[in-house]
Amino acid sequence: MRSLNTVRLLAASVSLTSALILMIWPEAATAATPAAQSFLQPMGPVAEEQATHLLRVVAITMIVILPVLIGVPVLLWRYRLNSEKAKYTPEWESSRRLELVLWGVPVVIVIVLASWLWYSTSKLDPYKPLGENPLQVQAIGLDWKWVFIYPEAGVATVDELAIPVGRPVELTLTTDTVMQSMLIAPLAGQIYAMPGMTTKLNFSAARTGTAEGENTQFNGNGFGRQKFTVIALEPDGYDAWVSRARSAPMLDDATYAVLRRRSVLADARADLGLSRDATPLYFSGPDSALFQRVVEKYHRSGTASDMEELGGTGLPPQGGADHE
Amino acid sequence: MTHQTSPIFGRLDWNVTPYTDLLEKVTSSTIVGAGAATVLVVGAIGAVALLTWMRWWKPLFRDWLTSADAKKIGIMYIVLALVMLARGIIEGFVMRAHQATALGTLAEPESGLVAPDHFAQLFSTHGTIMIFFVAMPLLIGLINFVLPQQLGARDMAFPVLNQVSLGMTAAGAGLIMISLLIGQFGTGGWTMYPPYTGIQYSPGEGVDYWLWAILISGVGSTLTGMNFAVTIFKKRAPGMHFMRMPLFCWTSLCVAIMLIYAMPALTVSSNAGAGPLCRFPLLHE
Repeated sequence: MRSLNTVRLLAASVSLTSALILMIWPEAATAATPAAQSFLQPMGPVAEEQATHLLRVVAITMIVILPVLIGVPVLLWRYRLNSEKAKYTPEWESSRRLELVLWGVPVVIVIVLASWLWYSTSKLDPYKPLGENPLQVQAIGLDWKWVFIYPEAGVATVDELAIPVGRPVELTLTTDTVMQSMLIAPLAGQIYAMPGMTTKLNFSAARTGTAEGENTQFNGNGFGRQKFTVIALEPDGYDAWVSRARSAPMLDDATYAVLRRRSVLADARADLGLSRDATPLYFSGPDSALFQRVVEKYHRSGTASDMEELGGTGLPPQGGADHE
Repeated sequence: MTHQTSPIFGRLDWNVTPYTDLLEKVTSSTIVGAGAATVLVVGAIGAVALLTWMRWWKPLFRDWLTSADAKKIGIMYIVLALVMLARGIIEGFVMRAHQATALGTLAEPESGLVAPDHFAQLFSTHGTIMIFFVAMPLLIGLINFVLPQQLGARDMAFPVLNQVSLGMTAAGAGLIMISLLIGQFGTGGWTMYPPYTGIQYSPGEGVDYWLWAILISGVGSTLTGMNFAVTIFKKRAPGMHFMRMPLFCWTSLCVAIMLIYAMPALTVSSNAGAGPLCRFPLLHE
């Protein structure tokens, strides 16, 4: 037991230290970890901009923080009771110059930070494409997994998002259950997805590698395991990936209805008669209107039989073969 | 588990306690759940026994529960906050212990100290308790104790209303405590965002616990905010101009204004909810 605790303690200190190192030298991460999890290990221009912005904010804030952290102990020591160097001025009340610095510097810093934030935020508008002809991908958030549809290539996946390096990507999101929130930290910021509505997220990968994507809005028991892999491939590697996915089985409405059940990826695989593990699912030939139909499900008020299409709109049935 | 619906008790029967879960299947999660319920029951019985043994019932009622003295009400607020803090801290420990032991992979079924549903309830109660039943009563208690004395006022502007506010906060806290023993708490976190917490996706009694606790204590906190503001505006001692008020009084005024503006919105939204998305047929009708 003791040795296990020592290992955990060591692991904790190692991760703390590496977090500090990452703050100073983000490239350190690229070699070490298999799937990037943080915007401090950026894989594309959006996360790079975010990382730079954070470091810039930290540096500017230090203008206020460092003098306080250093000044307080220095002043305490200098003006201690039996100090001989310090002047004793009990009648001293205020200093115009000091007040000007104490109020002026923070005001200037807030103005600088605010305008920089305004500039960065509008520059990183998630709805703005990052270049010509972005790769269109549609994402449907389900209970505890994500379906990605590639209308151009005619393939679909569950819990794996492959993108070619260098080509901008435009993700259109919705959910077929409660509100969800997608975050692929090494590539872009967080974006919400709501049933019956769509949101957009634009990003691009500047280098090959894998990143972890996740849902950050609690949606039930499988929430903690709703992770997916983002793979940035060289263009020819991406083409090979697409042709591999094209040989996979069809994504028809019945399969989609199974996917819509409340299940994590492994349980959904079991429901489809596959091995129960976390290997992503590939499908070919998804209905080109599937995404639109999922969105429109939530705009209809028809009879119950109408609503049954694509698994209906209410609380999905529990998935996972051993649950039923 | 099938619940038979009785005309009086609805779905309330002997199977709603965590002991049923423990008897069904002994896991670390059901042990933690039943253990928490036991602490609640033993604590309640212990408190009643102590009050009886020490013959404190009468002084408790006469000197404390019926007292409109802001200082005493302040102390009672702080005691309430400390009791809830004890639960909040223990929940924090359980959650961290779970995170330290939940070392499963994406493919494996859930592992760790508590089940996913139990963990979700823990972070919901922990968040709700720490915000609404620790941070707020602690501050309100401190202000109750200090503010009238700093202003030179004899008491709050509305002393009896002050008692009512304390009672409503305590009732909300009581509801959250009862959820340890009877039924389950909501799993939507302390913000309980719809549509996940709507009647369709969270059909159990859990979200109702949260809604009622926030509604009842929210009314109490709104009234407290008004009480503080009126006391500061109207009950200052002669010569206590605004600019002579101690800084703490100004802080209290800010708190009071925030309470007045924030709590009704929260209370109304937990009441009427997001219309059909939300779940409050009781008050919505």
